[in-house]
Amino acid sequence: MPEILQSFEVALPAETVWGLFQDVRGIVACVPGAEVDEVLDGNRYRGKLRVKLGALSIQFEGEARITGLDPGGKRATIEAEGSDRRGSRASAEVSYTLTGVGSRTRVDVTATYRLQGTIAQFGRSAIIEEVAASLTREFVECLHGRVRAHGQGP
Amino acid sequence: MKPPLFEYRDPETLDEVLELLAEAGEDAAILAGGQSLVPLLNLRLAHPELVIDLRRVPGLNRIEEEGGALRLGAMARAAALERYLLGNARVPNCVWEALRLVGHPQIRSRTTVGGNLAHADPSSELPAVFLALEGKLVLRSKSGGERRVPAADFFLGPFTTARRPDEVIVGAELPAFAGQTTFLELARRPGDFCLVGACLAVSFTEQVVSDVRIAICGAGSRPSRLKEAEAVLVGERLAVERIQEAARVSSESVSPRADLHASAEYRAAMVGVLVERGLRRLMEVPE
Repeated sequence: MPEILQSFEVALPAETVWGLFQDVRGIVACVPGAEVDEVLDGNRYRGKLRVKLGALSIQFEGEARITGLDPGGKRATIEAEGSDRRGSRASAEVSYTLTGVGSRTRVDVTATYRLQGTIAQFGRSAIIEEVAASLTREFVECLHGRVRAHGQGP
Repeated sequence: MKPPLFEYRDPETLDEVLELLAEAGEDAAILAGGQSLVPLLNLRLAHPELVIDLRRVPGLNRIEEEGGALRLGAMARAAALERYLLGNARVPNCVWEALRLVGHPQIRSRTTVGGNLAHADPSSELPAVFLALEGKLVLRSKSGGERRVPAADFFLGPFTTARRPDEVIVGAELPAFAGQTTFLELARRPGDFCLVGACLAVSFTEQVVSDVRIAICGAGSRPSRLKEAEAVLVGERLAVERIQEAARVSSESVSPRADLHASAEYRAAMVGVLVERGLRRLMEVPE
C-alpha cells in the first residue's frame, strides 16, 4: 500500500495544536474536494471526496471514523472508506502525531490508501500516487496554514 | 464497456464550439482523436454531460512549416505529421522521433496534436518535445479571444493544464532549433506508455555547447525541463565525462513514483541512462 509522509513545525505548544486538531470540520475543510455531510456520532462522519483531473472525475461517498485517538501520546488515526457509483472504491488511513520540541510542535502526517474497481483497472498507479501525494501535500499545507494563523507565529 | 449517457454535438464552426463551451464549461468534454477520452468514457471515469466533437470544424488539421518552424492545427493527426516530417531536415528531428513512439500506428492515425497536449498524460511524448523546443499552445474562448501559452506554463499536473473550461486548443506552434535534437524513451513494449522518455536539443558554437534543453516525461506528475543538468553542459565541450555528469545530475534531479511496471529508483536511473544515450547520439552528429 503506498505510504505518503508529510511533516511541518509550528511555533505553538503541542497542547494548543492538539486542541485545534479536534475540530473535525476544520480539518476536513483542508482536504481538497472533501466535505462532511452528516455527523453520525462523536467519531463517525458521512461525507464525500471529489477528485477531478481533466476529463477524469470521481466522487467517493462514504464514511470516516476517528480511531486510535490518544490524547496522551497526541496521536490519532482517521480511517475513511468510500465508493463512486460508477464502480471505483477507495479506502484511506491518515494518522498524525504531534511531538513537542521545546515551545514548538512537530506535526507528522502519514497517509496510506487503497483503490479498487475501475480506478484501479485504469492501471496508472504511478499517476494515482502523484495525485494522492499532491492531495496530502495540499492538506498538510492547509493544516499548517490554519495552525499558523491561530498562533500568528512562523 | 459502454460509456454513460451524454449529449453529443459536432458543430461545423469554431464559433459554435466556443458557444457550447461557454455554456457548458466543466460539464463538457472536447473530442479530438478520441484515443484517451473514449477509453475514459468507456471506463466511466469520465462522465461529461456534453461531448463536443471537433471533427467537422474546418481548418483545424493544418500542418504549416516555415524554415523548420511548425504551425499545427489542433486536429492535425500524429500520423499525418509523421508522414509530413519523413525526410524533412528542417524541422527538429526530435519531433518525428517522438511521434513514432506515440502509441501504435493505428492509434497515431486517430491521435491529434491538440488532443495529446490537452490530455497532458505525464508519460506522453509530445509535451516533452514542446517543453524542449519551447513551443506554444494556441487557445481560444468566446469571452477571452485567442491567447498563446508557452508549454512551460501549460502542463500543471497529471491530466491538468492551464486550459480554462471555456477554452479549446486550436493550434500548437513549435519554433525551429538551430542545432541537433533527439527523442528517446524506455517502454516495456513498443507502444506502451513509456516508463521514462527524454527530449534533448543541443546547439554548438565552435564545438562548445551554447544552448541545451533536456525535457523528460514519465518521471513525475508532469513533463519537466532538467535545468540543473542543462547547466552542467552550457559553455562546455560535449566530452564523455561532461555527458556522464549531466546524466548523474539528471537522475538526481527527478523524483518519479513507482508502479507495477518500474520502481521509482529504476525510473530515476533510467532518466540518467536516456540523457547519456541522447547526448552521446548528439555528440556524434557532425556540425
